Amino acid sequence: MNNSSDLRESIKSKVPSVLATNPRLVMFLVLVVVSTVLSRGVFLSPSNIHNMLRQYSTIGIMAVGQTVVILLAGVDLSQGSMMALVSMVVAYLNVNGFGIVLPLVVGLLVGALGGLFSGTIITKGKVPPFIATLAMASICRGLATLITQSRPIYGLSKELLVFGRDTIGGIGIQVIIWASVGLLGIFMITRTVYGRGVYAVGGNEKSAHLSGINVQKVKLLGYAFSGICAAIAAIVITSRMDMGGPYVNANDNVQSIASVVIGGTSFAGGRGSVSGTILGTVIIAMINNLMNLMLINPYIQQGIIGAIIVVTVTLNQRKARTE
Amino acid sequence: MFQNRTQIKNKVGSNFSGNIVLPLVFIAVMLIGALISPLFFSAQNLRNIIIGSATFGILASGMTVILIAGEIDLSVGSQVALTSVVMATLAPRSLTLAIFVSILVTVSIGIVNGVLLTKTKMPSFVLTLSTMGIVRSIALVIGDGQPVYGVPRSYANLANASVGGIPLVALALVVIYLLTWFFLKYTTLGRSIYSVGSNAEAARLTGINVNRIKVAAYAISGFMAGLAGLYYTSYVTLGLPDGAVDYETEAITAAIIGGASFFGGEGQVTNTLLGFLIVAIVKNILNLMGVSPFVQPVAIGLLIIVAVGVRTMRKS
Repeated sequence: MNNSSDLRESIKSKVPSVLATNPRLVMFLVLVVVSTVLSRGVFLSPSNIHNMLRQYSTIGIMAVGQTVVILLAGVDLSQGSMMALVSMVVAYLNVNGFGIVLPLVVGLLVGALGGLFSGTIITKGKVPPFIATLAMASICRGLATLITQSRPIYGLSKELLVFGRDTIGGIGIQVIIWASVGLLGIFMITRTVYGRGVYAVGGNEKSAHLSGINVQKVKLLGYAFSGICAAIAAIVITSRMDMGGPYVNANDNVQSIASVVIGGTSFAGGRGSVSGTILGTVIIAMINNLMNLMLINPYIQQGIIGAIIVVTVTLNQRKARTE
Repeated sequence: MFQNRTQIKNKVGSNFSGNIVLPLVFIAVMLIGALISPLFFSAQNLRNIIIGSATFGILASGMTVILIAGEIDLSVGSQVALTSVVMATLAPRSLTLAIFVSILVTVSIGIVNGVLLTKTKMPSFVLTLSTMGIVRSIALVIGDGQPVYGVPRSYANLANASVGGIPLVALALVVIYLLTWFFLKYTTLGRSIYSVGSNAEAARLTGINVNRIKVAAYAISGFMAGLAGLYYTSYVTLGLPDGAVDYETEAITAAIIGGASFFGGEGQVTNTLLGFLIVAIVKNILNLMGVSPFVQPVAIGLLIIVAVGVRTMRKS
């Protein structure tokens, strides 16, 4: 009798503390329940979950890179435009007879170099990250539209379409790519010297510098990684849409930032995780899925994402202050 | 007495060297324009420059105020789009009502931005990136994603109207910049914006209500976005819920070229006017040279980087 009430007490005290320390988990569980009830079980069907993950794989991939730059107390506002530029470059090279491998390699290089360029402006030019990447966004968008005077590029090779359309063992290749990039990000951030450098620089640049970390190099690599993630997302979306699009999903940039924020990474830098971000993207996917199920006007959806960012950042900061 | 004179001399000297670069760049781009095309100095072309770019000019004056306060407002482009939708929806009923509601809406958005910023303490680019999406959503929902027709012809003609050969909007720009200049220089609120932007803690210790000043700065930014939206509606002659995308970038470029700093406390609206004209002329030169319009965003991005880079190097 006494034992069971002790047990009850301990569960009572533990459950809320788990939930209180991890609001993402609460959000996730609430969304699962609400979506399942509202859709009369359709939500939990494997095909619905699979579709959702496929659809949000591009945002998920970008968000992994975004996490690293936000951990560095920066931000990358050029991911969306970079995605459009890489999509156009890959499609252009592909339809002009350069095969598959070269366009993909060049696409990834464009992402990496673009990131290095932003990183250089930020570290050498002492330009605030959001303004450097805003300028970069403008440059990438211009270059993306310039290639074909803003017309989409159609007629890609069949082989290029595997990344957005085929499946391995029933799982979409784009979901596998997202999972791989996510695992790579988790490994890089938690298990390598570079990852410790990221937390150190984001937490306190001065003391990181004093303890012998090459701050500029850590930042440069972070922005390069963010650019590469945008390029991988571009390859997936180009493949899925079967075209190079100069205007592909400009809104994805905000969703990538929202994933990171919901995932609990702080804009002050030095605090957060890639695993949190992955859960953040899943939560955004579920919210959009839920809005679709409820037949909510799609035009409202980007506003909702904006509102979610505001609310989550506010809650995160409240929590940080009380700690 | 002598000491005073050298002080004045020093002040004039430093101001002179600081301020001479911008007018020189301005004259240089004008000369380049004249060299590139005989059409550059034609009355028609000069009119086109002003009429085509005035929306950015109005936005840039508000952006200067926000930058001086040490913040940023990325939501102004969406606010311009929302204003055009509100105007196109309400103007057929009553133009006065439409204008009144438009300004009321954008000033309210500014106040909401400011209050959220001061209450949540989140970085202003994150906050205004979020409200950018929210305001765009509202515009898209009201217009159902489609262009909204119904702007009265008489109102649509205003953008091209001129007085004695000078475009009406050029006169409006002069008035807006004069008022902003006067506001920043001679009113208590204007000067408080400078002190809050350069050192919020010091401003608080001298008894300035920092939060209230920031809200006021955002309200001004919203007001200017509303004015820019009123002009934009007349210029495009309809309500465009998906219009004015990335306009904030160009407004920021003008203010930055004019010397406003991202770290607050610095910036002069008269210099922003020059910055705005330089950007507008560079875009015009690219047009006259027959360069694809898609190069313009690339040029804008590079201009931001060069302007900030040059300033940083000069400081260090």
